Amino acid sequence: MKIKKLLPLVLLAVAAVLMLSSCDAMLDAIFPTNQIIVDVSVDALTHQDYAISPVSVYVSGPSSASASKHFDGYDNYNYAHYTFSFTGLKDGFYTINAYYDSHFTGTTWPSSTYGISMPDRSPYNPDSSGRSATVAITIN
Amino acid sequence: MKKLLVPLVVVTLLALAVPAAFAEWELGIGLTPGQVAGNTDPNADPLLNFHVGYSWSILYASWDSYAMPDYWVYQNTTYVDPSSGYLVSGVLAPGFLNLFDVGLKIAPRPFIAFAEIGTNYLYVRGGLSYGRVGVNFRLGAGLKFGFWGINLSGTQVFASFTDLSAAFHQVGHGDWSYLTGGMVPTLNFTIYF
Repeated sequence: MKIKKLLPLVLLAVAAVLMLSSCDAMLDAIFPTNQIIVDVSVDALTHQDYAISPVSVYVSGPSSASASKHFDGYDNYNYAHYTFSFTGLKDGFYTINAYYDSHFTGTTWPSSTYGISMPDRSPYNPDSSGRSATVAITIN
Repeated sequence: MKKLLVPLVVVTLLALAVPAAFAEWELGIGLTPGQVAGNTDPNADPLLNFHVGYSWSILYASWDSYAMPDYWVYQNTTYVDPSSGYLVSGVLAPGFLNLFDVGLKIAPRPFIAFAEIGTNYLYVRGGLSYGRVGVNFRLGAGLKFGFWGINLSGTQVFASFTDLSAAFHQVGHGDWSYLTGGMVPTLNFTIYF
C-alpha cells in the first residue's frame, strides 16, 4: 500500500529532476537548430602554397557565421581539404562563399556561391532529419 | 488587504473542513497557439508546456513551464535602462517561462474549474535566468474522467500586482476585459494521481 501511494510522488520527483537538470537539452529538442559542414577542396597543383595558405568561409542567411583555417588533409586527387562546421543555425536559406588566400601571391581566390535551404530534406542528405548537411566547395 | 482577510479565512476554513482524501497530484502537457509568442506565421508550431499541480480540498497550486522561442525571449528581456535611456538588448535564445500559481479548484464531477494567481521565472538556454516577468492570473475549466482530464485555461500576465489589482477593480465595475482581454489560451491534457 505504501509503495502505491509513494509511486506517483516518485514519478513526479523524477520528472521534476529531469526538467531541472536537462533544461538546455529539452530546449534543444523542442527548438532544434541546424548544422552545415563545409568541405572546401583546393586544387593543390594550382595552389602549391596550400600548406601555408588559409581558406575562409562565410555563411549568410537567417544566421550568419564565418571561419578561417589552414588545411586538414590531402586526398588522392591532389586536392587539399579544409573542413568547417557551422552550428546553431536557424531554419532558412543560406548562401556560402569560400576564399583561398594565397600566401605566395597575396591573391584571394573566390569560390562560386553555393546555396542550401535548412533543414535540408533532399533525398541525397544522409541525415533524414535534415538538421545536418554537408556542402562541398571546390577552388581550382 | 483587510478586505481580502475575511474571504481568505472563509476559504481556508472551508478547505480544512473537507477531508484530506481529496488531495491529488496531477501531471500534464499543454499546447498554446504559436502566434501568441509573436510568430506571425499562421502555421506556426504550437508552444508546448509542462504542468505539475497539487490540489488539497479546494486549494490548488501549480507549476507550469512554457517552452518559449528565442524571439519571444528576446522581446521580453530587451528593455530601456531607466537611468541612461538606452535600449539594452535581450538574449536571443529559447527558454522556459515558469509560472508558479496558487488558487482554488473545484471539481463537481465531471467538471473542473480553477482560478489562480502567481509569479513567474524565466530560464534562458545557456543557464541565464531572469526574475519576475510579471504577475500571473489564470482561469481554467474542463472535464475530468477518473484518472485523466482535459481543460482549457487562460493566462494573463500583468506587469505588477498593482496592475492586477486595478484589473480586479474594473471587474468590480462589471468590466472583465481588463482581466481577461489578451489572455493566452492553453489546451491542457492532465493525468491525476
